[in-house]
Amino acid sequence: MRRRGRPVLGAISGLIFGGFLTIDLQIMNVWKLSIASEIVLPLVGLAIGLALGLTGVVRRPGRSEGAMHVARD
Amino acid sequence: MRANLRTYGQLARAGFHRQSTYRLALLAGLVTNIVFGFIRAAILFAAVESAGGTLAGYTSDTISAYVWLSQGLLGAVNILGGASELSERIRNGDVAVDFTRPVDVQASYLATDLGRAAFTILPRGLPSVLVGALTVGLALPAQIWPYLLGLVSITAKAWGPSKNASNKVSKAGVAKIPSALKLVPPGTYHMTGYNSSDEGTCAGSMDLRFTGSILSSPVGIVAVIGTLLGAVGVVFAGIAKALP
Repeated sequence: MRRRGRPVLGAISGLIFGGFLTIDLQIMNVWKLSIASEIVLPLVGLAIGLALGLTGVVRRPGRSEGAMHVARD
Repeated sequence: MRANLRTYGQLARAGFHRQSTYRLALLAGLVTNIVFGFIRAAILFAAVESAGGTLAGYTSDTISAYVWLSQGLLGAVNILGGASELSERIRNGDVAVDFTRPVDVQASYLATDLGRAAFTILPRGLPSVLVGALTVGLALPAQIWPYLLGLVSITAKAWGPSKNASNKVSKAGVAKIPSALKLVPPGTYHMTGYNSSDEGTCAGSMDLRFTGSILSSPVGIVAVIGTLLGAVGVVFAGIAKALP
């Protein structure tokens, strides 16, 4: 059995996450905005979301690895 | 039985997936966007240059931002997409079948088109803007607020408790702040305005400093909620789903 997450959802969510995080950091005066900083965090979020979605490394809550083996068999 | 919001969500999802099927067409659209972006940028740069560096308030950098942002949104807006599926179905009469379905005809086509438009942002919109930023450059605001408050221009009229009788270069005073500024998150803002009286008009500027936390303004609250929702989406996307 092959396991994989949701790469498209991950990419979009990561992009949104990075964009809003940029706004948060700007409001809290942690990160001054520039053209580069506006692009960096959304792209990093997109990459992280895409990677998580492709690999599906987050364990499904409430289901142990043993239970998955049972279901596979 | 009429459709609920979940039904339209499923239609938008279907539109998203249908658009993602035509990957070669998306690549062709991206190349077209970029090529025409360069052509438009070249023409408008020449116009700005011939006008002496500024044309109708645009400089080379701001006109570049206009060109590449509009090119990036071309796929989502689909203004050059020709006849829509709905108009074609109206023409050949198939729309009669649509009216028998338990969904609102206009809303269902809108949901499908929103799904299509959402997908085009990723492979066409973002790369177009990125190419413009990396090649000819864009003039993007260095503050986040122009993006959010760009449509609102606030001018503080009549600041100062009295006239500047001794003609000082700089004069401290108080100003009645527009109520719209209650929505602004904490930070320092540069604000311009003027004072008009019988003696004449005096233009000037002031720096406003708003104190508070990130949650003390609606924009900050929305930003925090958006961050949390994005994080939840990323984690959810990473949860493994069983594939046969």
